[in-house]
Amino acid sequence: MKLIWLTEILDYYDGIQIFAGQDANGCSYVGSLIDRAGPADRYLVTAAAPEHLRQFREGRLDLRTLLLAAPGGQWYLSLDQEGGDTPLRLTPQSGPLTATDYLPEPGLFLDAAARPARP
Amino acid sequence: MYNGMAAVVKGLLEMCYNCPVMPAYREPLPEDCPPPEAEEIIRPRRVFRLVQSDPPIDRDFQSQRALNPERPYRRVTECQARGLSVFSDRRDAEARLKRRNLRGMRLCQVFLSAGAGYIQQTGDHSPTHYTWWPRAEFNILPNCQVVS
Repeated sequence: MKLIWLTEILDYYDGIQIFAGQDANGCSYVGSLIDRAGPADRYLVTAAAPEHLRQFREGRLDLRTLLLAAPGGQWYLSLDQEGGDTPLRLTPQSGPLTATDYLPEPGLFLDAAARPARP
Repeated sequence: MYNGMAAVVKGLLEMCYNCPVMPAYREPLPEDCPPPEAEEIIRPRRVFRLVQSDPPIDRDFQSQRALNPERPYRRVTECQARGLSVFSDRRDAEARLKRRNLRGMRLCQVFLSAGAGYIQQTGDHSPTHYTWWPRAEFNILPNCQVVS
């Protein structure tokens, strides 16, 4: 069981929608809320290269691309029901992430308003 | 003795008359909430919120704390948990519909006016995301129009 700690809230809408986290080795992760079950939030979590995470923060990479760029295609689910500063427990999943319906649609950028208009 | 008591009572009454009337919010708020940085809504403005029902219902305007009284939070204050997320920019609100957990929701434009409560920009990466603390007397549903 892998543990990560939330380091930054990247998107908030009636709760944490997207977060950045780190494990004990300093590796970066991104988590995306997939559903809520009572008092618990369930997140899709993947490792994220620092450069990709930076591009996502800057609105140059969309969330779907970021999640699918995980090294080795490894992805996790995490049920957050503790809150506070407790670590999030990641449960590794098998099978391609694209075969699930956990991914957001393409084109979900951070800070859409600040992004330059596209032709 | 009597005069002294009368003076105390008179003083207390004057204090009450001079007290500001505490606003009654839609949901009970903790102390110092809304925060001092929040802005009182005085002039009309339009914001966008995602709703599940069309037409919207009261539940669409309940805070996450009201919906889940026992939920523990990470890095979210109790004050924010008792507010409502809204966007000042329609495109930013619509972008959230691409998320798995928000798919199928509708976009509602809400017309806020004097008496609607307090509002504050919240979210480091979302300059158009605001937290809104509605006052109890503000009737939300007639001011909410589903636009997509």
